[in-house]
Amino acid sequence: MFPIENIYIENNSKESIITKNIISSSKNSKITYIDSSKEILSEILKLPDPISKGKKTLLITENKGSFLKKCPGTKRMICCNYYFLNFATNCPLDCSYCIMQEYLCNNPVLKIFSNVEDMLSETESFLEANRNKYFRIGTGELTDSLALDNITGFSKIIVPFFASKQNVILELKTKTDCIENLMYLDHGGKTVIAWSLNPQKIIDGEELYSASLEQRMESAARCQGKGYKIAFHFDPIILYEGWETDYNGIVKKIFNAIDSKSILWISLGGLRFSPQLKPIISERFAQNNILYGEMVLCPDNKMRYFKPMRVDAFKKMVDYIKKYDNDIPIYLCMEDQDVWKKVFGAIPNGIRNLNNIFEINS
Amino acid sequence: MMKVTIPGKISLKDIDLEDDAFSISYPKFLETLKTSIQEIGLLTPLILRSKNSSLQIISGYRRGIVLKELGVDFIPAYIFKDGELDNEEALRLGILENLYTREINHIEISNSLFKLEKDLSIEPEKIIETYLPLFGLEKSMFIFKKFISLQNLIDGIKTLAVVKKFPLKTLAKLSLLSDKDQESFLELATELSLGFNLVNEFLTLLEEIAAIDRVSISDLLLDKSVNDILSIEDINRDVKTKLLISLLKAMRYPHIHDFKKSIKSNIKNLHLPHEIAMDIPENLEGGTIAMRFKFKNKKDYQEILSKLIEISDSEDFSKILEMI
Repeated sequence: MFPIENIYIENNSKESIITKNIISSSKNSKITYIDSSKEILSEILKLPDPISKGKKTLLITENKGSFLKKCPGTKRMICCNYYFLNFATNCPLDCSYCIMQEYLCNNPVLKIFSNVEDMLSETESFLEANRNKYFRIGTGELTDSLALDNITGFSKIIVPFFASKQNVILELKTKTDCIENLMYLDHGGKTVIAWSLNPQKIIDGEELYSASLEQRMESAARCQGKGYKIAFHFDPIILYEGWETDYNGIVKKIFNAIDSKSILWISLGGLRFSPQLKPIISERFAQNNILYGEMVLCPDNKMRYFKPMRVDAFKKMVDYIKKYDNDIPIYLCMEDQDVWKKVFGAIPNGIRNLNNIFEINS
Repeated sequence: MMKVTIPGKISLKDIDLEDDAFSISYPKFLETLKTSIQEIGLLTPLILRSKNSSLQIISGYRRGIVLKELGVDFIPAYIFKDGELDNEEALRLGILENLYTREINHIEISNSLFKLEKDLSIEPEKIIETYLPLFGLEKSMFIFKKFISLQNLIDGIKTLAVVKKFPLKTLAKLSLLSDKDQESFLELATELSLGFNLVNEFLTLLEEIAAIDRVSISDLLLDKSVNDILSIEDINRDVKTKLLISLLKAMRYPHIHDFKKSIKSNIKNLHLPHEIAMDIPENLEGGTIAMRFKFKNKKDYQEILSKLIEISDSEDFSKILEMI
């Protein structure tokens, strides 16, 4: 599914369980042991499209920094108090709108961190030190949570780890159907599997190498069957002529395939990107149409659909969802108070109220 | 190995002035050079090499033409004998000589890289490694391809680009247009005397409208509404440019345009005196409206306050609040 051509293993990562998993399951990739990735990066950066090459190049390395970080949100936007656990950076999927094309443009290879023990111990200490608080932690900030799971086996480590934790829920967010490992894990109800959803025509044109909408739905149903809680992210919502019918159709599919009691939350986010990403998208996706929306520069220096248009879109989406289940928590991603108020008629009063949205008792 | 020699006097008749194999210069304007040579003479000798029975120009192609036009018979030149300089060494020497004596423009870099790749069949990887740094460029295939793409520009655009010093990014975008679109765009840019910021703005708007409406840029520029503005006689270029940008923005962002028009109409209906101004947030982001007012005395102040209270009950005011 994802053509990983080269795997580079830093010598100090040789003994990691992640490295061993990758070696044993990557029969078609060339494996090279290296002391430093500097030269490899420099060669890739000389290519006409380093991002595409980077997505086919996997580097196993140690993370020298922190694994856990609070979602930075964005200036003026309502914060949902989310934490990221970065076990990897970059993603083998190739979504036209992906912010990582800009964010990781000088470091475009896929990176998996080998020092998993450090990651677990950092997380353990954090949760212990904040036992009176409740957290949502996700692994999908800088990568797809499951895209490489078939070769890394990372879920087999992380899901059981969180199963015994009292004050946290883990979210694995994906656009794939790589769920085989999840089928046999003891998750203890502490892992929610989430899918980003878009109409099939957007998947075909903008989300290369990702699973089809049907495959995502089937995977969600299988995970639900194994007792996992499920979440969905309509993010980014892309507006085009007839978008309403297509997105409403997805909502219908969700409630046909999944018992709404298993759905922990649904998020809505409009297409957004920094102005610097625009030329990258045009360069890499010549036939792309997503740049032709009516977008404006917002105070946080991100391009978004003109506010009345995105408020209208969010309201419609909320209506589509509420038609099937009035109680499902819905939240907006990266939107300011004014938009929340226009869409929901009220704004969540701080993190405590947002946690109520997620039915989390803090 | 190249040999350094003392320049000799060469008869211009012995030089093949038709052969521009190593010329990278653009544009080939000769008038300024001619004036300079007439006034102060030829400061830099030509570099030549023997080729068959004549002399081939390695560097100084334009100088050669000018000297011929000026009727000069003998010129100073360095000559490499047959076999002393292969084609790559010759082109490299020509490039270096140009680089050390003047500023090289984007089109000339493109010409150099194109000749290295197409005429001399040198692999792009080698060109990137060896030649891009000569021009002070990063060793990158991306940059190499951008420069090569400039070969698709029509002459008029190339000339305009050199005169107005367009950045590579703008030129690379222009190079993706068909010749017909480039010609139409050139006509517009020339008529409005656009600098590169406005070229970028027009180009982006035109490209996006053309893509959305599935028409060509040349067809778009033939649109009646565009030509109505261009043909207004009693306004200057700057005003025409502003009007055209507004027109294109309305075409590119119809919902935003309608929305802003509607708000403007609501504000107008409030009949605010000139002492009161209502500032709507940029792109409606931010969620707050600013009211500014000025007054001289208590009476003015009270009048303003009563006007502010009066408008708060109006339908237009409510509509504005709803929209923000």
